[in-house]
Amino acid sequence: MSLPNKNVFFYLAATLSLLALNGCNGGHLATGKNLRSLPNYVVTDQHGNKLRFYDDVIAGHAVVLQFMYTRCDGICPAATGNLVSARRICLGQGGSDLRFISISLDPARDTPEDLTDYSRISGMDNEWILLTGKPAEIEEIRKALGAKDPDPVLDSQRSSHSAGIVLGNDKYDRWAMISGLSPGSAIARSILRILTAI
Amino acid sequence: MPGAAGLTKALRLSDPLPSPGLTPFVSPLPIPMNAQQVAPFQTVGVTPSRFATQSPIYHKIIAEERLVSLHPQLPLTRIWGYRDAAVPVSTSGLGPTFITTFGVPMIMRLTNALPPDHVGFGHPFLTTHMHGAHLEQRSDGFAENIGPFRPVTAPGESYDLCYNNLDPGFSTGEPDSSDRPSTLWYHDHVLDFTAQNVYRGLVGLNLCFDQLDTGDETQGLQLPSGAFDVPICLQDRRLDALGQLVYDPLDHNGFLGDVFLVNGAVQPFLSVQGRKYRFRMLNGCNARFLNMRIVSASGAAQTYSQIATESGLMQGPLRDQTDSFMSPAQRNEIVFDFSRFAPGTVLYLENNVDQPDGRGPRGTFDNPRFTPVGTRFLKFIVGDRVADPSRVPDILRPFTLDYLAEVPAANRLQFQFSRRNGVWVINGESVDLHNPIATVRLNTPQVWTFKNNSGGWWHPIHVHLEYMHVLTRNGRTPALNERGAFCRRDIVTLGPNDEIEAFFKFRDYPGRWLIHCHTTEHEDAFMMTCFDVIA
Repeated sequence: MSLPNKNVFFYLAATLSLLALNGCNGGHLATGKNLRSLPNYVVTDQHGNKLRFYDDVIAGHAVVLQFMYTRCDGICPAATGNLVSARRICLGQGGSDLRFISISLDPARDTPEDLTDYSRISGMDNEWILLTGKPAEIEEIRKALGAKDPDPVLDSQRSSHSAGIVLGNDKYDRWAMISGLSPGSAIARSILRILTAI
Repeated sequence: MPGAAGLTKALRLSDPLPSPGLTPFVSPLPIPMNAQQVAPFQTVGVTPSRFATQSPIYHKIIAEERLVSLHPQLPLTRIWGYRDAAVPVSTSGLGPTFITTFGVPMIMRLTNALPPDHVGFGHPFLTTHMHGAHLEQRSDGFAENIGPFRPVTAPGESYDLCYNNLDPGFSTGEPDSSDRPSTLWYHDHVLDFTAQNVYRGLVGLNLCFDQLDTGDETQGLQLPSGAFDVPICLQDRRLDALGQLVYDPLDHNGFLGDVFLVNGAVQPFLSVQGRKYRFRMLNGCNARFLNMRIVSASGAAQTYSQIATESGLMQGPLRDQTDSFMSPAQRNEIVFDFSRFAPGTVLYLENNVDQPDGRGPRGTFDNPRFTPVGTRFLKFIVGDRVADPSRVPDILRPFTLDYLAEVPAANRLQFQFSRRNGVWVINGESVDLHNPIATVRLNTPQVWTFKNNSGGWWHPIHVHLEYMHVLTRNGRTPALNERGAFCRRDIVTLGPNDEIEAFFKFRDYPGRWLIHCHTTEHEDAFMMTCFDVIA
């Protein structure tokens, strides 16, 4: 069985909690790692490939994730433009191993073909990964990545969706979020500082 | 994946797991050691100001990973902390405490000994901010490398910082001795990761003295001193079953813990003598607002005198206070007299702010909600009454009110803090520390307005380089504990929809300086901007 979550500690802790509830005894290791688990749902990229979100997209990589949808007439064009600009800067400064990922917040409508068109129109290079999938599972991925608002009304409105960019370095289990509304140069500095520092 | 979905569901139900239950008040309050001076060394890139009249003192500090005991019922906890290089090992949850004598410059060499291959939250690249200090840009702990300054230090590297400890205005022949700090703190300030690094433990204190606030209760103001002058660093944490720190680096709303530490120990106790004590309280939480009271066992609030804010002694004490409201990073100093209580009396230092999440307390700044029962951080056990030469005089640090005459002609700027699409914007712009939001001239009067348009969130706004005189809060004269004519602040608390006017004059040090929210998760999610001060 492939684990749907990445955080072994959290698995152990939760599993043992369940065991304890069932009257079992056990001990586990604590690592002091992040209180965070990422779903491993099957998602679809712009080429129609089926990928496991954690195993195939995140695991072992330094990643830059944004949320968008192809029909967005709000912040997406500007935020995507900033990120494309940041990507170009990163490529020129040793960031070729960085994996840039855009996740559709309108997966019910955004097909792989839509994502391919969006990629081309936005000036994304061929290495960029765009993802769609089952709406409920994409929603879970969004929330797990922290691109959510504590106000349930704001959180439910796609037009007010997060402009945050999630930075992750899975090898070091290191995560942060910055603003996709900042200029590409500022975004690139954060990306390079965090993701290629080691 | 049969079974996996069920486990995921169970995980969510238990997310987050509560910290283990611990017996409170079983270990004594730790007092971090004072930093030890070292022999002068050849510095790199820093020299004390030519206006300094005294020779500098030198310190070497190491940032390291170490094991500490937060509570006797827990295994040792792995933290990041500052250690004085003069000692081989530290078991303290806090860094060494600097003792600053005003007018004596201090040089500090910070060596980053954090593990380069660290796994988990936290970023082992450091830039060290002496919060509240008036100092050159190079030594301010700017959040990223900029221009000629490379303050962000990688594992294995060192960086020298200089604190001149001179009165603001020293370079123009108008030194303002009323503008001196009393309790500073130093912490990591690296862009995008301050919350994680500070939560891991990169925190220490700096206590400042001069000919008024002497550190000797028989001299000067005669405030309680020595063993009766006690730092109280208040922090919240979340722990796993084996006592290790737990943190969610993808929750950007603001961290709230369920374990409460004072000076790095979970709910300790302090045996006190029947006399006055000075408590220098620092809200060292990432996102938790605090309203600190000293209560009896039955919960009755006891009175004290507030003597200082985070920006030094106030003009005079505020006597008969019961509540100290502190945003993250704010400091309130109080003098509490235990001689009123019979030996054996038990009292508690507690917080009673009703705060459901990182957005801030329920209610408004003027009318925050409090819980009926407080959370107890520290237990006091009162001993015998003893002789007490200390006092709390009616005048603490006389202020000049010259700034009031400069208000009408001051340069006016406005900073609106808003939330757009789940990220923070200031004056509609997202951060770029290579492009300042404003440029002001050195030594010119400034009246800045800070407005919170972020829809129900609270934000403690911190401005680097200078303290502020708060002029108005929502158009009205503020309460004495933030009124500019009575005290200064280096953080102003913006409750929902609040608007604050404050007077500044940026003196002595041209350069680029930060303005940011000190709820450190907001700060890391780019609720930060910068301004330039030009000659």
